[in-house]
Amino acid sequence: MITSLEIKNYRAIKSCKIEGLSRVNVFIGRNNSGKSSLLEAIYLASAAFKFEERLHKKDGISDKISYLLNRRGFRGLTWDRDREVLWHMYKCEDPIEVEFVFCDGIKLKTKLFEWHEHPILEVPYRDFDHMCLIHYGAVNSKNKSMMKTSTDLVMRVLDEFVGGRGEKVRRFLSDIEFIDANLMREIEHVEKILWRDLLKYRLDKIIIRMLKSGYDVEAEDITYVPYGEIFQLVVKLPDAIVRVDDLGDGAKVSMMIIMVAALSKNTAVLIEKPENHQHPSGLAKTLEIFLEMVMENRVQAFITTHSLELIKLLNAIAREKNVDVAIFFMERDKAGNVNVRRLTPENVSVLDRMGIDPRFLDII
Amino acid sequence: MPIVQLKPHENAFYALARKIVKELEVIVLCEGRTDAEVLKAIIKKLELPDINMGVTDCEGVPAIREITSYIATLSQISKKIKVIGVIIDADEYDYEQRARSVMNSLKSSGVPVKELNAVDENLFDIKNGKFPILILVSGIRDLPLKAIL
Repeated sequence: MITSLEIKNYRAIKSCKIEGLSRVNVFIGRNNSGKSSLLEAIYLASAAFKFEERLHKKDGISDKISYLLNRRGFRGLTWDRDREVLWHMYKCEDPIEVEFVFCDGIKLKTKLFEWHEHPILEVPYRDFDHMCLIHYGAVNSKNKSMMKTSTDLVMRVLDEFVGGRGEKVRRFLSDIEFIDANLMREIEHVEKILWRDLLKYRLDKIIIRMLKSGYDVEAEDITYVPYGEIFQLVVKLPDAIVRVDDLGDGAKVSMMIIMVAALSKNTAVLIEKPENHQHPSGLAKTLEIFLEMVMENRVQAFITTHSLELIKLLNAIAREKNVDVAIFFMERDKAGNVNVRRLTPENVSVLDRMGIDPRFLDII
Repeated sequence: MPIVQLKPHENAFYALARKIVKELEVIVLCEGRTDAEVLKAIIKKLELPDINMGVTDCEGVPAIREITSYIATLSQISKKIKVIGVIIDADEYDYEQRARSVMNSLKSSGVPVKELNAVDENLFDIKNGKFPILILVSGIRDLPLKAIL
């Protein structure tokens, strides 16, 4: 689990340090305070370990950097031509840095230089100061050179650097998934990627439970049905079927979150505004099942939101299920430095009694 | 002087959402809703410097415990508040006893407070690392009629 995080030079964020991360972390703040940039920066860092994009495949996107370049508006941006958009104020002289500190004290910094198309790790080896896990090589950032090495060597150097926990750290960061609004429009692709594993472990039962209890859908089962040349996922009702595509938007958002969380293990899940399209009862059920998955699969969650309902529901359900939650209020100054204040669920409860909405924390 | 009534939430929500008030420099914690109303009426009559003030109350709950939790939370997370004011009833205690009970409660909650200074007969000042806390103890200890009765 990550306990603290430092980001430099990524999009809205010139610098940002977050300490005291919990199992579930909720980020609030005004528009343009850096919440989305924070999730993106974590996802960008994961590209140092797995460059390929798995769930977001819109417009032929194949890698995480291309996705991050285009996520805010699919305009065909490319690394070669448009990479500067990833940098704070488009100034790419200094690298984008994301440093993680894990619960066992291990520190690891990833950097994205404008002359290397994916992030590399600040891990020294002989005359080199970085290691590249994508092309397996040692990088010298001063003369921008790379020496190809073997997979074994890179993993061995990383392993030594992080005190014998190289494989654990690699898995945690490489498996990070990003659930955002774009994913809703790619449900067919996400189904194809995830449904086989969900069925293999009979995790489809969780989806059915969620549909029944949170969305009043009398779901008995979920199956594939041929529609002309293609197969589509449908929910079996007592007397009919309904295509997953035809479910309400809230149920689809919830399905997406639960499908990803159910298959994630010992990693992090990034969720952008899970309250979108949700009635409070659907949101409550989604959070309840999500927190079960978080505990069962030892997943760390990073959630951005503008919803006070979500914060209150999450705190209440987390208390019942004994899950640690921290709320972080983000505030960005004119220079792009993001100041973060950590709130416990108790702080939120006292503020509420005092009449202060935590989303307006910048007033005090 | 813009005064923001923090409770109920709706009173402050529109002012804050529309950025009519961007920052609160002073928060006054009142024991009861009436104290808050009286305070607002007095402030409107006085010519005070232009300071943004939030006013809230602990209506319906034990005041000292509630005020303590408010101050403890504010001292943890506030970055902009310059002064916290507390308006509390004397009840059957004398003014200093009542102010001291607020300070003792703050101390036991881990809020770093130093000594209690009397500014006036019923006004006290507690130094805190982050912001001064001013305690106004209101009420009349000995009702004039009490002696007659």
